[in-house]
Amino acid sequence: MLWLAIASPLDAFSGLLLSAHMVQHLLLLAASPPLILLGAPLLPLLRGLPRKLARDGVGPFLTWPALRRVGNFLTHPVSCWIAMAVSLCIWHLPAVFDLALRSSAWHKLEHACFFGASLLFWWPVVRPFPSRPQWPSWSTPLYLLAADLLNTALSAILTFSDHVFYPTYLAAPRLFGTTALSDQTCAGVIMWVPGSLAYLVPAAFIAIQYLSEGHQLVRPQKMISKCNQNSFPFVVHRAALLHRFFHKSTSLSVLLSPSRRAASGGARGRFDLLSVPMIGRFLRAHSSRRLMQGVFFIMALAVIADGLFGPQVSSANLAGVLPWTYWRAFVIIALLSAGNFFCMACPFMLFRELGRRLGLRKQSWPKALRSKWCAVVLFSLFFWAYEVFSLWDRPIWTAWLIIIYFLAALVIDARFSGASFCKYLCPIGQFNFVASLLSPLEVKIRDPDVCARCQTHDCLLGNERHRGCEMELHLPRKSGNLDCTFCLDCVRACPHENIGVLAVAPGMDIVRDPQRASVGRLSRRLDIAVLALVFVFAAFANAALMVTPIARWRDHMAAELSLSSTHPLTSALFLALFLVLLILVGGSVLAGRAIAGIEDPIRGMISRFSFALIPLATAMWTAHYLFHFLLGWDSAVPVFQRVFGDFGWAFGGQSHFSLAGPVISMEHLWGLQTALLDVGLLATLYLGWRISRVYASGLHSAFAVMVPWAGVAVLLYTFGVWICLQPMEMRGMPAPISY
Amino acid sequence: MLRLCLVLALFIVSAPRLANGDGGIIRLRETQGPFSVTVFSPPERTPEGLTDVSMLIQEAGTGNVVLDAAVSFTPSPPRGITVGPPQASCCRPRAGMPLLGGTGKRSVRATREQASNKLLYAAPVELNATGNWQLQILVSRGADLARFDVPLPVTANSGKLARLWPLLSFPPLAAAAFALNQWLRFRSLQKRSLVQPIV
Repeated sequence: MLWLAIASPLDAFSGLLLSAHMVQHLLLLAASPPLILLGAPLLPLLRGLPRKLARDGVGPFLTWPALRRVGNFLTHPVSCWIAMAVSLCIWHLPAVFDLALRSSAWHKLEHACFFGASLLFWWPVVRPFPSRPQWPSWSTPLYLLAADLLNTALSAILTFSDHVFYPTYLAAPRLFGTTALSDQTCAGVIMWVPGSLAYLVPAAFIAIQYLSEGHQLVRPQKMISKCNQNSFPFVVHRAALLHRFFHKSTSLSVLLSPSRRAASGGARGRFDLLSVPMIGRFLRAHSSRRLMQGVFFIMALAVIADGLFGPQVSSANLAGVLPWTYWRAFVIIALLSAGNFFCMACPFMLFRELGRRLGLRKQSWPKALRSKWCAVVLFSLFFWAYEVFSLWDRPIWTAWLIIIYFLAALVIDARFSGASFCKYLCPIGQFNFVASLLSPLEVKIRDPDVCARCQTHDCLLGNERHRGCEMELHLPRKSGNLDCTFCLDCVRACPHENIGVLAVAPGMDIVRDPQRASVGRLSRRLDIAVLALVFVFAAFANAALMVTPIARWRDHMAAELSLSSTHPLTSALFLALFLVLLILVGGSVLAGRAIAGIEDPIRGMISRFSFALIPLATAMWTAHYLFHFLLGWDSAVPVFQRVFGDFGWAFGGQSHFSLAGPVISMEHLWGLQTALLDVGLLATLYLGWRISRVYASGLHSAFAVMVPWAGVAVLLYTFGVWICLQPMEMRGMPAPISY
Repeated sequence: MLRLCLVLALFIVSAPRLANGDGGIIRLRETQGPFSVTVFSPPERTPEGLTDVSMLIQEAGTGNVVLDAAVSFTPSPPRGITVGPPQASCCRPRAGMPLLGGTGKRSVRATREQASNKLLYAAPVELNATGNWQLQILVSRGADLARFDVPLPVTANSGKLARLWPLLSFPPLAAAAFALNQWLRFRSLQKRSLVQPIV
């Protein structure tokens, strides 16, 4: 009924025919609300929610006395009747009705008012389970008759009027040979006859039921106590059910220990990607990784070749389009929807295999460098170089970057054992590791008991057939995706088949702080925290430096300072923004700590709160990359056509740099970007709150810890929204377009 | 299979409502000479963007839909406004919207190809300033010619932020609801802990 009213072609006719509009309103007022309420939707909706969300999320509101009082007031028959009457009268005033016809926003508001008021109106009539009746049954027919009187009065005015009330219909094209006045008369009749029936039939039904034999007069205040199985079969049951549902014994100590789940570790019953037919088999196969790496390797070679020898126009070169428009978007989508699958298919790792085959890998990575500090420097340098040297706009530099990457992987991995390049150096890997903290899949043990009995630890040490984890992650103590390249060597090595790619709650690993294999406690790893902050900083800086206002300001400043190049200014801006972020995050955590009077180590607190900003930063990265991808989704086609044309293959015809256009309108894209940032902010705030509760036992002190830091998160969010709404440079797209 | 059929059926019957590219609200319903036209445009326009204007042409006498007319839209800016060159748009120029004439006013040819509903003639019109625009529509078929003037009020740009307000207001609302939830839970647990010892 609701669909018929607002989503069917009836809605399209409502602008042309008042009678169609009236049918639409009648469905909203008298058909769909009572049917929805008859379905007693509250309990099914609650049962449909995850139990924890229903109990801890919705439950406190439903059992809140103040909200119940408001609910009782709103569902009181007098309030309900007045709400319906006011809504009906106001929206039928010619000026207001015409306003709704002229503006879709007002039209939607009109429908929302009708539907909301009507839900309220029918509430005392239907008394949906598990509501409590506030007036006795005999009053319901009178309540309906009073509503019918109003409806009759309004419909009579429409039916018998000799002039058209709503001028918009005078201007509308006439359909089916009707005039505007006859259409209005027809609308009045629809409102009168079917509208009255909608009130009178239930009134008659309830009256007959009330007067029928066996019905007892029950005073409302004593209804609950006097109810029996025949009169109110569910009411008593309702109370017991709801009580059980929302007052499930949850002790204060349980609520106050957010990391209680970390202690239990089991993974039975969870989704396991390796158990999915075909996909699981493919991922387990040793050759599958080689296949994926091979594909990426060929693509990397193509990018290098075209970058070095192709036209130096980013939008016409594979090195301008494939890495910066497609690859980045696919990586972030894969990270957020599954896991770190790029590292699994990373072509740079083929050289590690070469080094292993040549038997050159004899040295261990120097102990002094066994931290993420080198990665932090390289990670920062990567983003700095990207901005300063406009890598996205220089195919030859992109090609050289990939060549240097291959050489670095060859030099490091051919000499040092383990996965030193991935673990301590690779900037792309660090990006993926940080973002994969939000991935919904994790390489994880299935049953802790099996690992407890295991003596060989093949997942770490390997065996004669398969090598173990080169990232030194001992699976029973592995928590989260940090440092996991999804190589699945551990899966193949485990003789007990006790390792899977399991579903986990995205981001919750940031809240926990267990002793992690190879990583240790996050609260004690300042290097990883700084890495996370660089990730956060780069998300906003990378996007900010491509928006027109900032780019213009930078150019203006460079001119003011008589600089021949913007490089020094970009570098200074880069450094200043990072320092500002460091000061803001550190300062806010210190402020919160001081306000709440907490004495935990500062370093640990700053580290943990830095990780909580990752969701917001990932949202910014996603919004940024999707912008390029969705607006330039077809930009590879002409580039491939050009490449094939260069080889004399007329594959797909002549290259044509003006193709289908964006896959999404700018308005929808802004909506998508804002929605992503919304989710990122809320996830960040939630993680921050959970971490605050770890440090502060009381509610007020937890709020005190949280508030200054949350201010920084909100500031970043605001900055992110502002960036997304600015005109941007279209990197690696078919033409330098602005909007 | 039954579920799939139901979903498919629901999708098919929903499709007409989704096809709302043409239409919008009625801006003009008028008869001139042999043509009776109804002009539609979206209810909300922004000065920065292209506004899709579409039009139904019927024969004045019979009401039959005219499908072979030549239609052009010529927007005139509000008084005192000088319209600059067309702004580059994020959307690439669509086929079938050539600029005609050299009077300074830009005319756009409306075609049925550009309309989602092929009974209508449509064209994107650039209305890049606030105020009361006039859209001059010329309809011709053979020797028949008619001219229609449509007032198109362009209100001040509601702004991107205003258009995104539901999304922008969601985080504070959600955060406030969460804070309230935590307070209620904490209060309820505190009450319970006073009655029974904490486990």
